[in-house]
Amino acid sequence: MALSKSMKLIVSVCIIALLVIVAVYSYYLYTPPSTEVPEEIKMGAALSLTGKYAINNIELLRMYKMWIDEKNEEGGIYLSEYDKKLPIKFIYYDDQSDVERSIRLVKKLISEDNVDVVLSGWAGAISNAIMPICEDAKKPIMVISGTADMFQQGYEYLFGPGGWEDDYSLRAYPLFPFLKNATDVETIAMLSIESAYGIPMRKGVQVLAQTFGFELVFDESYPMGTENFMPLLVKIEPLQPDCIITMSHDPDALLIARQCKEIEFNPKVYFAGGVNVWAFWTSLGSLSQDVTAYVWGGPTAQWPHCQEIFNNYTLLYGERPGPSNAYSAYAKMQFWGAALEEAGTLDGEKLCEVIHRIEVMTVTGPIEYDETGQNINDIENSLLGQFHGIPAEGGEEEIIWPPESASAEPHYPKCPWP
Amino acid sequence: MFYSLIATGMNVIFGMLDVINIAQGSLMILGAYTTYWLLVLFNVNPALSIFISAPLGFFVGIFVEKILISDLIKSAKSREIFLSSTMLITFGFSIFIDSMEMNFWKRDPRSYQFLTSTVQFFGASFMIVRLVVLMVSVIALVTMFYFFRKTYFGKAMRAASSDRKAAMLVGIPADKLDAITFGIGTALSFIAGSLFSMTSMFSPNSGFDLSIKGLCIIMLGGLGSIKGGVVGATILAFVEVTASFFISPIWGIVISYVILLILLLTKPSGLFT
Repeated sequence: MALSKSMKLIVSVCIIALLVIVAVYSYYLYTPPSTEVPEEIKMGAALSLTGKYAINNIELLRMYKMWIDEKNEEGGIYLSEYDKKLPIKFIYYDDQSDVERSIRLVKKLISEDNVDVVLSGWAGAISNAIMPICEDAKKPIMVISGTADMFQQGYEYLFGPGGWEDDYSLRAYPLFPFLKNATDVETIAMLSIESAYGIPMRKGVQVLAQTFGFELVFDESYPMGTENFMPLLVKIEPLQPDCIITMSHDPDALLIARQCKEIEFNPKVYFAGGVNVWAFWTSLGSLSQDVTAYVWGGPTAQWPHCQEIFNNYTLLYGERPGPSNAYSAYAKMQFWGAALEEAGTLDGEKLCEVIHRIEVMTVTGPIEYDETGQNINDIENSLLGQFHGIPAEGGEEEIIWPPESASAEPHYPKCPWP
Repeated sequence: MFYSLIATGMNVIFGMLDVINIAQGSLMILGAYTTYWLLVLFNVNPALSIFISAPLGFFVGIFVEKILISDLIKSAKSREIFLSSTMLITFGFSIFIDSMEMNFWKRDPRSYQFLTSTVQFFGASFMIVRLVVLMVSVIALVTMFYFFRKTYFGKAMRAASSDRKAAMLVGIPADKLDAITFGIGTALSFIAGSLFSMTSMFSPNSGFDLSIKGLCIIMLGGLGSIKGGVVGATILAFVEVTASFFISPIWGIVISYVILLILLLTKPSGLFT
């Protein structure tokens, strides 16, 4: 049956219209969408701003904010993928030092707030708990403090401090070459807190003491919340160790030092490990003289911008930053800035690859992560500080070891308690 | 000694008002801040600051009782409802205090150096500040005993707590005494806080743990018993120190809480009630 002329015309028009529709649809279907440029880089953190870990996290928050403000004043971070600088938006929540709450908040940051970068709080126990979430979401995280088993679990997106061996940490390392080379110390007593920080540090000191040939004449741990150290100190004092090592958090370290003074127990070297905030020294007052502690930064450290960071922080917050965690937090941000610029993207996988590859000079020295995610330079970067003078009278925590980084000669033996 | 004071403050309030004041630890930290700021801003000697922090605590207590508790005393339908309501209210109040402290004074840990030189007694060395703490605590506790046993106000408070209606019938103004009682309990917290600031580092979050410890002590000594608070604190401290010395500090805490548990199972009302 032959089609009429008008019918042929209608069929032709329909076929042409169909072809046009298919062509247009195909164009949109197969043409890649244009790259959507984000308005900002979102950085997020669940920080313990209240509760038992609050003391150390406050300085972290301030350093994070300070670095972000500095970067935003420069216009943000340049990302080559978008060929422009993007400002940084910082979102943070208080996890109240509660592991479960921190897990919920990190999930919220990733899934609801859509943060591009997850920042870490201070507390190994919490960092350990949030790691699987960051790993699943392919969000690299640089933790400030770790736990012994953290780096043994094969996490690809975890980066953190170095010096972890199986189940212990060698972060107390700088004390031991000092004791060996600059003192006649032979015996050591140690008090350490039962915590994610204290347990691996204690084991690390046991290993280091044996390696360097010191006798550990007293070695006991105490639970968090201990408010009287006299029962332990009166056991240590008759042993007359040459050196005491306390692996504690700031409030305990303060109490231990005061109670040592009370019984006039004054070893040749007093090492307060785990001391992080400037308030520790001001609270210890005149008892601060010649107390040693390890530091990662501080105004007397040799690393670039240390003095500048110190000045900016003091100006901004009206008080001094502590020499350890605060500087470590700023260093992590410096590393993040370099990693983002190098990667030129917010893609987690690419960022992870870049973080593994680059080395960045920071306010705590060069940071370079090995295949397990530990900073390979951490032990070499660690410094030994010693408080010279009195905080209220312009006293300062000087770097005394290693000699090439020292800002002052070590005081040995420690002066008597005032 | 802080714990004796905090527990005594809790016991005074519970014994007279039937209120378990969960905010006692937070109020104590408020006292610590009072002494700290008086020293930092006005250079007031921390020992003398107690003469300011104690009356301040007293008036804060009266204010809190009027705002949060007094209506509940009149309207609660049963003792159980009153107890649970006041526990929740004081818990909420403790969060409020901590939050306000954080907003005004930030979260930074605070401490200062005070009387850290030592003196010798019978061959043992003591930091002077600890003697000050001991002395002030003993004076405060003895004053409390004297007040409740010997003074008209103290006797009237005890009468009102035994039988509120009967006391009102004989002309005792129970409503006013409620506020004064809460004021005294809070003043004890402020004194404890002032003393605490002399020896320890504190921050807005330090209060809750102190409340829990105070609660354990009054459960051990007996809810509402002033003597029980002192004895409870002494027992817990003695057990902790002895076990810490002879075994280890970790066992010190475990053993002291096992003792508390055994005591609560065998004598649920505590040692002195």
